[in-house]
Amino acid sequence: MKTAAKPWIWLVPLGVLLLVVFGYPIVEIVRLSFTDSTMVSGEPYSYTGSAYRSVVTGPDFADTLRVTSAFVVFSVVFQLLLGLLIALLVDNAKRRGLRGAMITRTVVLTAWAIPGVVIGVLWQLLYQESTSGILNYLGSLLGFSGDSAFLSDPGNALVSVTIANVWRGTAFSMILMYAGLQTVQRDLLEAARLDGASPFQAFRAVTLPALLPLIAIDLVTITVETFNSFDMIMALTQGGPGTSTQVLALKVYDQIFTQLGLGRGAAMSIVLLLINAVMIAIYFRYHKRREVNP
Amino acid sequence: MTAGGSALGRRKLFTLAAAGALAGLAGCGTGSLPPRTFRWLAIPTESVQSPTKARAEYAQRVLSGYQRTSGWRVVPQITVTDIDQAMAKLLLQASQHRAPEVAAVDSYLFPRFARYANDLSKPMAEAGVRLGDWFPQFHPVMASTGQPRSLMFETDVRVLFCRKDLVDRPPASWDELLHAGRKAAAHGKQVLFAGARSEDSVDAVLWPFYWSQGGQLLTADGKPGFAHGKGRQAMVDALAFIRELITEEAAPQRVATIQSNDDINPDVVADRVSMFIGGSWQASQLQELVTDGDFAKDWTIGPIPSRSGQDHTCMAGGWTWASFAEDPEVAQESIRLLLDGYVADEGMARWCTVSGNLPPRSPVYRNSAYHGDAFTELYREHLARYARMRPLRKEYQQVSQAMQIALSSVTSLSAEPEAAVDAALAQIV
Amino acid sequence: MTGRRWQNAGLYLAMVVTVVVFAFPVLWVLSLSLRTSREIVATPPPLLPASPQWGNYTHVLETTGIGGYLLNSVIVVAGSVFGCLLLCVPAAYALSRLRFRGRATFSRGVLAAQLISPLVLVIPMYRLFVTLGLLNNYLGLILVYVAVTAPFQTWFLRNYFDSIPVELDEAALVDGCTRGRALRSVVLPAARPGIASAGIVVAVLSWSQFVVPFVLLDDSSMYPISVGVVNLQNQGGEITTQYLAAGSIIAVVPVVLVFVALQRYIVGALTAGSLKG
Repeated sequence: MKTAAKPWIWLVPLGVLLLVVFGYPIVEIVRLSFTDSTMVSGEPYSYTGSAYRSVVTGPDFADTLRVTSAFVVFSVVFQLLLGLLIALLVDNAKRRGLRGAMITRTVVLTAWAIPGVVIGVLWQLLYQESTSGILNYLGSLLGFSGDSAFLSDPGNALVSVTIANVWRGTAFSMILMYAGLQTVQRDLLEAARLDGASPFQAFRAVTLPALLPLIAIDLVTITVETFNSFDMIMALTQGGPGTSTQVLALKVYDQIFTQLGLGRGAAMSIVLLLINAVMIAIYFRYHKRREVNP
Repeated sequence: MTAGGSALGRRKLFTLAAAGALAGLAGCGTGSLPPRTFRWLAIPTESVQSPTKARAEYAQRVLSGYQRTSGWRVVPQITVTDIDQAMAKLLLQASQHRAPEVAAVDSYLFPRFARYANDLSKPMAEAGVRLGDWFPQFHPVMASTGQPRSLMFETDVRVLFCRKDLVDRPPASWDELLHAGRKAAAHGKQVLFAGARSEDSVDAVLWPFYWSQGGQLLTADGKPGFAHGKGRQAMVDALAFIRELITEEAAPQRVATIQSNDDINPDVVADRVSMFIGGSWQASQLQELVTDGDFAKDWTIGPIPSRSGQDHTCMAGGWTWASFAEDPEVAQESIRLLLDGYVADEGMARWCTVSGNLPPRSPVYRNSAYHGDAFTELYREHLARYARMRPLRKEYQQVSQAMQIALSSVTSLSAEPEAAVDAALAQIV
Repeated sequence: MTGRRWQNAGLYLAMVVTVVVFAFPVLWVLSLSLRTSREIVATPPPLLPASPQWGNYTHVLETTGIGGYLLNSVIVVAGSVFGCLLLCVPAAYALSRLRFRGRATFSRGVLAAQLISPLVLVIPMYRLFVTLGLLNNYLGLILVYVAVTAPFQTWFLRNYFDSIPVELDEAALVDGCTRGRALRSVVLPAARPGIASAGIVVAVLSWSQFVVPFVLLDDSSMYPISVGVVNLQNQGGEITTQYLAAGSIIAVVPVVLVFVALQRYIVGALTAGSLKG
């Protein structure tokens, strides 16, 4: 491999943009997180660490973390699995020249293109618990009770919100997996088949290794993305009932946009950032191992 | 570069095009307003873009009438539907001196904005509008700094709507409400109220249930008034009664998903409701929406039931207009649009007739242009006797947020009232 | 081959199930968008409106300025996709092919930016953009969208380039091409599926941004569709679900059209790529 004379030319524009857009705001948010300032810029404020203390030692922090992790873990696992399955499905169907592959892909993508707040409102309509609710009505046709408490029961609410989120986000994993499938070397798959490998064995031996780097990226991205997402839940349940669907990002949002507490919101968002950073760090460890020992 | 001449030409063209596009984008929207022009920010439902035709037309009429007579140009702007977001953004704009010249501000939040808003004493005097005309509970909202800095142009009260054929007379006490509700529930008609995690929910049910027992939301030093003693007991009892409405099946558990008073309308139209706690503006909407029956004839209203059946309370909300213009001439000219169209007797009379909201100034009720609905007399009485504003202190937001969680964990039957209050108190710093 | 036919039948069945699950909510919205307000609240809910109320769409288009919002979105999204790829492709290529000091640090720095949620940053960003004159300005908005989406795309494209055999560009370099030319004439064509995927992702993420445009645009007529459509939500007592539904459909149609158009493109890129492979 030749060493390029000026590698930085390729990188500087991106680096500069990131610095310009994120640099000052991050410094400012870190500063604000140690204050009790509000959105009203004239109101006096003082420096204090109390926001962090109350965030971390607050009685509801453990609860929020529990809700957030359940939401993130299940969203991520199902988005990844479903995304991979649908990508395989579409890829296979296309290679066999079956009709409908493109429709399938487009339909899945469509769900993802709807803005989060609108998705929240729409799923609220689907989950309606009065007899005008379509899911309850269809459920009653299929022999269910017809008055399932999709959103008014705390346990169900978290499941309902997660399902809506999986529905929304699967497309992203699907695109990545689909793009990854195109890099699988067909001759290797062919060779595996000639060697008498079952489709599953061929998948494990040839396809999966080729997909692994993308799966790792996908995992990190959707994890971070899900940790940071709040718009759909805000519209669907506003974090309720009680705190049963209150994820950390929604708390940050509430703190800033509803309670106008800039300082506390900033502190919470730093905590959110740190959690994300831990996720990424775990990924780096994995990535490094792979680079050392491919 | 080994690229050929034509490729270079293409590159150059491409670069030029990109630069042109960037310049075009950068030019969009920035820059100051032309002279004799100002921006007018309204919430979507009350703007020229309102999905309700009559409101959109009213706003349009006010705007074009003003432009014609004054020679000034108005640029209408809208907020987003989510009030919290809209107000947070407006605060951010105001703090950077970029707020629209005139803007709608939610009444209970106005004191947070007062430092940025203009003193309106002079234009009010010129328009012949006196602070004393407004109902007294609105004076602290409008004039928290001494001088009037906002113009409250509409208000509302929350009441108990009852179906006459199912409920003999509006229940006054909690016991009567529970009893009447259970009786109607046996016929498949339920009691509804907003019980989700939202500002609407605490405003409609929890605050009046608590206030009517003598409770205060905030003490004089800004601490929650339900931290201990009688106040705590009153809050626990209010939540316990709400829980009882659900466990006794007068109200369904799905009230835990009803986020706003308006969300009850579909159920009323679908004939599933015996009684509901709703906003005064809903009657005129329901009059239109209910087609198999006459809402005004079939329904009646009463004050929100209290524990004792006396000392009723309810929450009054509403919106104000405020002036954020920095140029004195613009400030004086722009507020005239709203004084004429929404605040002075005739404007307020017409607007409140169109919007179904209540005039916050008493002379307007006598104005010939004001036509209320079947319940207006009663609303006005409620406004005078029972209505209260939310605390105007900045600590309120946190208390409200904590109690929204408490209320919705009780309506979803996931927490006992005592535990819910304790959790809320632990959350308030 | 009956085995193959069974497999095909299985694939068809799986596709049908997938389409039903993913399309149902959208189709339901479509159905809602064509109802009268009475049909919205009817029990049990009718699956289809008795007579489609196309007037709901005209009402939304005429009264809400949604057409303008749509156009705003198209401008900002196009700018973001273009800007993002312009910055990411070279960076990703350099990270994939060149070996230099600070490479790992740079790529980690970029990825760290991916952690940041713009949710909180928009508040100080507002003040920053006032100073820079970028507030209330599509260019400013595009810069933020690019900054938000670029870290992931750089990472993704870098991995994608990694999967393209190095021999391809080395052959070009041996032939006397510069790095830039090798990237453009050899690597980019082979990477078209990856770049198309990246483009789709940037487009969708920019299309659905909510908090950033809402805060960074002062002038509400400049709002993108993601902000504009939410204003059709039920408020002021009226039952406006049918309008919200119509607005949502209007908001989604352009994206679906782009998907369909891009699908064809991806298909073309794939066949071109496989000829070489």
